[in-house]
Amino acid sequence: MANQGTTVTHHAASSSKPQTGLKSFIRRNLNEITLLIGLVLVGAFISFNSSAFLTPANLINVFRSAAFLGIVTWGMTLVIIAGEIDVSVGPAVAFSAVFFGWLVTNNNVPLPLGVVLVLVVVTSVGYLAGFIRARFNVPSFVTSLALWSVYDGLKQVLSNNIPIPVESEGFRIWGRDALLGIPYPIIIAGILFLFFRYISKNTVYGRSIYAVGGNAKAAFASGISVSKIRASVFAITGALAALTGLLQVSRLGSATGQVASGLEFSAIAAVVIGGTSLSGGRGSMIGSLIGVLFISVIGNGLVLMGVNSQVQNVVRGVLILVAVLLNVIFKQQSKDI
Amino acid sequence: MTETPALELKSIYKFYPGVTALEQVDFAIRPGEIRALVGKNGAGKSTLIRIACGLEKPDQGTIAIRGQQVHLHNPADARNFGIEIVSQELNLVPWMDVAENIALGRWVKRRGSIDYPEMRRRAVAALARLDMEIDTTLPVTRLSPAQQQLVEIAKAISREPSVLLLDEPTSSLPLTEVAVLLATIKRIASQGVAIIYVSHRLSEIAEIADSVTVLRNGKLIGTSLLKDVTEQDIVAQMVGSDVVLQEIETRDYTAQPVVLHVEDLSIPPRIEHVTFDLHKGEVLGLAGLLGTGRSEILRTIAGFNHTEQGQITLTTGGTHKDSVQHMIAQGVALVAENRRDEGIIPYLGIHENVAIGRWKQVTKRGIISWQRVRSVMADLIQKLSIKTPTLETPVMNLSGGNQQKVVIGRWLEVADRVLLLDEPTRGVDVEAKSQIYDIIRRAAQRGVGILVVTSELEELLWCCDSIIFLHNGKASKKYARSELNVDLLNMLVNGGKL
Repeated sequence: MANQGTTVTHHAASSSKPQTGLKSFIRRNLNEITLLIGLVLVGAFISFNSSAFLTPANLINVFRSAAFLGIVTWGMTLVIIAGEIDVSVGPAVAFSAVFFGWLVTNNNVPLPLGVVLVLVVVTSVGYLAGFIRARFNVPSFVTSLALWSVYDGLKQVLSNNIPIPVESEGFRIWGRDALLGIPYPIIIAGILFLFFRYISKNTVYGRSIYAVGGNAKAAFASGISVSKIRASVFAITGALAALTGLLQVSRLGSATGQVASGLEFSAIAAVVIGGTSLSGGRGSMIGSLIGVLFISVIGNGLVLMGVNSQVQNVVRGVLILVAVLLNVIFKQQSKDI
Repeated sequence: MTETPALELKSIYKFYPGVTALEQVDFAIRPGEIRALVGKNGAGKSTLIRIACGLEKPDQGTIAIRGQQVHLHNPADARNFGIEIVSQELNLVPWMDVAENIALGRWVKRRGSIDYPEMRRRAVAALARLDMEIDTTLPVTRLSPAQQQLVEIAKAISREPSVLLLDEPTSSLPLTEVAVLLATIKRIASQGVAIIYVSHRLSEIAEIADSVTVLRNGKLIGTSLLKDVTEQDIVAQMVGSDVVLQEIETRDYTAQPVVLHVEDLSIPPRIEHVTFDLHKGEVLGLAGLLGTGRSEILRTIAGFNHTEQGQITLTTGGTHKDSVQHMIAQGVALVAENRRDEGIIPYLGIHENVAIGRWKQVTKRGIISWQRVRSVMADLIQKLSIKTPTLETPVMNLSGGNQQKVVIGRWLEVADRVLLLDEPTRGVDVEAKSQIYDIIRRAAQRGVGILVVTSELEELLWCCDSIIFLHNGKASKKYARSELNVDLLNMLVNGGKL
């Protein structure tokens, strides 16, 4: 009864005008559109201050770093839509990289087997974390925080903080080389984006994630296996973290625990900037894509404009806060339209 | 009556984009008067209340308190003018104790620190005005829903309001506690507080209100003294046509096979050795006071709870297991009592909220065909007469009645053996109620066995073929609807015998 007023609004506003045409398109995608405008404005500001920004080489750089952030972010989007959070992805990427180097270089495991092992192990650990959350009702912030620490420790145990070289030209193609001028990581992130966008919109599994995040009890009462959904989204972030770790090794030619530090922060920020609700049930992949681009453009711009690296973090934090704030304010406004 | 009204709203208009929520509504209430405010969902009751308590500003019109014109910018303003509201949803902090909840936002302080003894004294005094004794050191989460509701009222009363707005205060209370609450409200009114009482339950209104204001489609239909009108009149004013609740046809289900057999079911501590049969095409009502374990029986049949003792058999094929998924696959599904909690998935569209029970119909290997979703659901939504601009409208934007129809629609056809309905018309307006009864009757006609639990006794006469009464954990024999009337229902539900 509390929002009867708005109920009435929706009825009448839309029964008089069917929801087609440009106006309703804008209304349905207001969030994405405002984000895109923000992105363009930030881009314009940077290119005004640095002529290097809008060069093809730099843009490819931006997209490459967006790709490395994006892959994990697609999974994070599903996790957050399910009403959960996974803060372990940064160390999970670093661990995957080091674990791979340790297997292949230190223990002479054949390369393809190493790839499979890393994927299987990190995916399973993710599933386990999700299972603990689902089975014992431990908040996922806590399970993934614990996992953060475990991965962070393990990567140091395995590497002693020394980069492990991985020298295989065939393997290095995936992180370093390009197809028709487009680096492979961008292609991979792009394909995964389309894949997860499809999953989230057009499969029973994807819609069940929304249902669980929106109202878990109702989802359970509808015959959805809530615990399986919960566990599975963490398996997905695990798998994507492993993949990101492997790509990092491929790009650098060595496995180092220094990669992806703070990635969990950026990924969560990208999802939230993209308009996905931290309380679950609402959100979109496309929003996260824009969020990822936003963060990558800001990061690149700060470097190009010669901002001191300590100050960069401060500026980045403030900009992210502003973006989220604008997003929330716009959302409130669009409710009243 | 030349007395100055405690609250007067004059010629109120409220527009939302594309719709007039209130149109030239006048409303005045004397001190000590109990005024019922009724109307279907969407009639404008909530908007009017929100304006009266400062949550919304009218686009036109004036508000006067004790004859003095005021502007209410926010709820704090309204509160300062002595207007308090107790809304449908409880606004208590579960883990704080009763006294602190009553003092919330107005903590009693002495030299900068909270004066707990004084706070407790005031809480006890406020509760005493309601003739209530509750241990004020208990966290409110330990209280029953009715006690919590009373604490909420005590909180409002402790601020010495001159106008008290009550928005469906009884919607989640058992009958016995409703009586306590109604008596309390009368007492408060006798102390000179003007009370605006919003409810869908006409019987309660008849019991306590002095007068009733009816709104329909944002317009004032009229205000009348209660002694001048009958319940039928009020309903007619609300729906704008003559009575909608017609008697249902009597149907003989006994020739049909039994579809569900419950044998010696015990659910400690509430249900002991309950046995009954449900036939194909039968609508069986389970009546009982709140807390008698009615819902537990439904939940056990639907696979939510573990069957401790007893046997549940699907006699026409299929098996019973303690698994929701399994029972849905057997064509047995539950529409749970609390639609917000266990029914709707608020942000998802209507089409998805319905489809979630029957993805098989519209998917191939887990991939959804949205086109099929739309065509199947459009048809269903029409059958259920759900009022919505589009199929994709998030279900949270619908009125309570339409939300309920969505949740029921989720299981129509999916539950082709047994449909379990727990309070299917709670918080739903008269028109939607009659539509829901109609949906129930039609499903039964198709051969579904239906179990209905409801707290509104009359409702049993409007949709059931037969009724079983639960009292002290035991089930009565099955009565045919034709043997019963409202008075007998009241007697039987309290443990009486025919």
